[in-house]
Amino acid sequence: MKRLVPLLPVLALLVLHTDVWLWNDATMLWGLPIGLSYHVGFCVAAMAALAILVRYRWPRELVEAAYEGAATAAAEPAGEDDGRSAPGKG
Amino acid sequence: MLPVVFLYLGLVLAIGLWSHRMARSTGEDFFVAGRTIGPFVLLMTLFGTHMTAFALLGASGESYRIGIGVFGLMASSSALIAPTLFFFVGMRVWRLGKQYGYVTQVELLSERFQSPLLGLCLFPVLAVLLVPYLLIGVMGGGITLSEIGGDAIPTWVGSVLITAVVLVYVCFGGLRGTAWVNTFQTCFFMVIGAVTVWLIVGRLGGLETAMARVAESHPEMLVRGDNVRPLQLVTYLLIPASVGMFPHIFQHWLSARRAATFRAPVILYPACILIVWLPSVLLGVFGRIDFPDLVGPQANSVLVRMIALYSPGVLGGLLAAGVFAAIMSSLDSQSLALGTMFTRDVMPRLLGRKLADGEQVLAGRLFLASVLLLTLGLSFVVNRSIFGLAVWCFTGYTALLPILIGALFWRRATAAGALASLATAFASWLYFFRAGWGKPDYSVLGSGAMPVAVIVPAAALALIVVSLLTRPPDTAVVERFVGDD
Repeated sequence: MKRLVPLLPVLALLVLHTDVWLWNDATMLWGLPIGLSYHVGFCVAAMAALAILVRYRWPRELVEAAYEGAATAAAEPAGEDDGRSAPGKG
Repeated sequence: MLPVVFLYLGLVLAIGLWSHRMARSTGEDFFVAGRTIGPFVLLMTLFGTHMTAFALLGASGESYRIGIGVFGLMASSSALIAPTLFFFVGMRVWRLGKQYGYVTQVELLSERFQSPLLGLCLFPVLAVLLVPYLLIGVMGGGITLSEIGGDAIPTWVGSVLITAVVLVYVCFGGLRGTAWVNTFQTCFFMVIGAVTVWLIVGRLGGLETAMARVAESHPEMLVRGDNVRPLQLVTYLLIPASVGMFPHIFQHWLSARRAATFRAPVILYPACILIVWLPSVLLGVFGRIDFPDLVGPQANSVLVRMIALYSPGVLGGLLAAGVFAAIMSSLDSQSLALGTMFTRDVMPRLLGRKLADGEQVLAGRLFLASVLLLTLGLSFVVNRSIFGLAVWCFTGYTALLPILIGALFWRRATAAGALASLATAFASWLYFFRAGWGKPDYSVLGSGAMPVAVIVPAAALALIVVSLLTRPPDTAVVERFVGDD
């Protein structure tokens, strides 16, 4: 369940993407029609949601697996990847 | 204007050729840059590869046609869906590539499902879907040069020029050259895009005045109204999911140096989308003020017409070069991806042996050259809306995504299920393509829903049902691909 929490902002944005309430609204906001400014704001919100995903749901197991038995592992300095050395950190 | 464009093309060539000096003559170096690409280059090259003539010419053309609704349809949906896929799918793919040396989708999926037949069926589908996408770029180059040079320059000249430049630097530089050139080109078209909109809006009297002029003559452009339907907006969310199956994006994922390299692309991708799409959509809408009578494919040239009208001379040349940059930064990766697939997935089967490093590089170069020349030839005879071509292409790739998702996240997914999913995706895509081709406002039963909303669930259902009806795959193999995360 704890693993799902960082996904919630992304899921919320998926729902909020279809802004039917602004469909025929010609009001101007930030110099743009509100139907456009809403989606500009949506892009900014997407950045925040993705930052949360990266920070709290970093796939540490995958990162470690990549170094186990990788042909190129020898060329990679150990611990260089933050995902390996900082569990749970993004 | 033209000398500036030629100067720009020369600069791009120089970067591509210079990167050749860094190359080692191995297949892995040519096809995935030795898996050494860092975060900034990965962000720029992923974004530059994803954004093509579709984002600039197609988006401005479509917003000229239906107004501001285009941004919600394609841009903001991509801003969320594409980086989410980078995070969940791209990083897993990168891990598998790093661990087991995969370079193409066919290699990874054939091994996951233990089915050479799946690989054999998948290659032509991936390749055929990529050709229209390549066409978008080559045709976009022709339109751009023709518009900025006036009627004196036929469209084929720009198409030939753009093909020749891409051919040279991709052949020499491989993925490293492509990534470096893309980084330069993406920075270039992002800056130029922002400058363009600032300049043109300034010359239209400011943002408020420009909006007021559009509101006066074409108020329907400033709301979605009847131009976009709610069900269309919902189902369009599936279109950017195509990024998960693009062979060229897949190849760039594999080029990442380490997992942490993905952080910047995942978080900053929406900002990049905003920087490029907002000017494109605004300029398309403002195009209604000065060019109110463009019809059909003519609308795709509205951006270049605006540039020629408001920013002639050197600056106009730079802006036109920005359009070229966006086009070439996709064309190069796409042609390289096709060359890679042919070299890695087809040639060993044809020859009955694995190719040596030098042979791989040579075969990759020869095939990508053939692909580019074939695309150039097709561009002379095809005359369709750029946006229309792209959406069908994206739909096809999204339809294949259930196979990759199943391969990476579902232990029970079987080869028979993947084949059934592929067949279902192909058949249903073909059905809708025949029904909807040439009809820009086509939707499923006139409901507003995009065909992708039927094709993807059908393909996913085929994967699930057939997988459950067939023998479970080998646990040891599956464990390599389906992690605990």
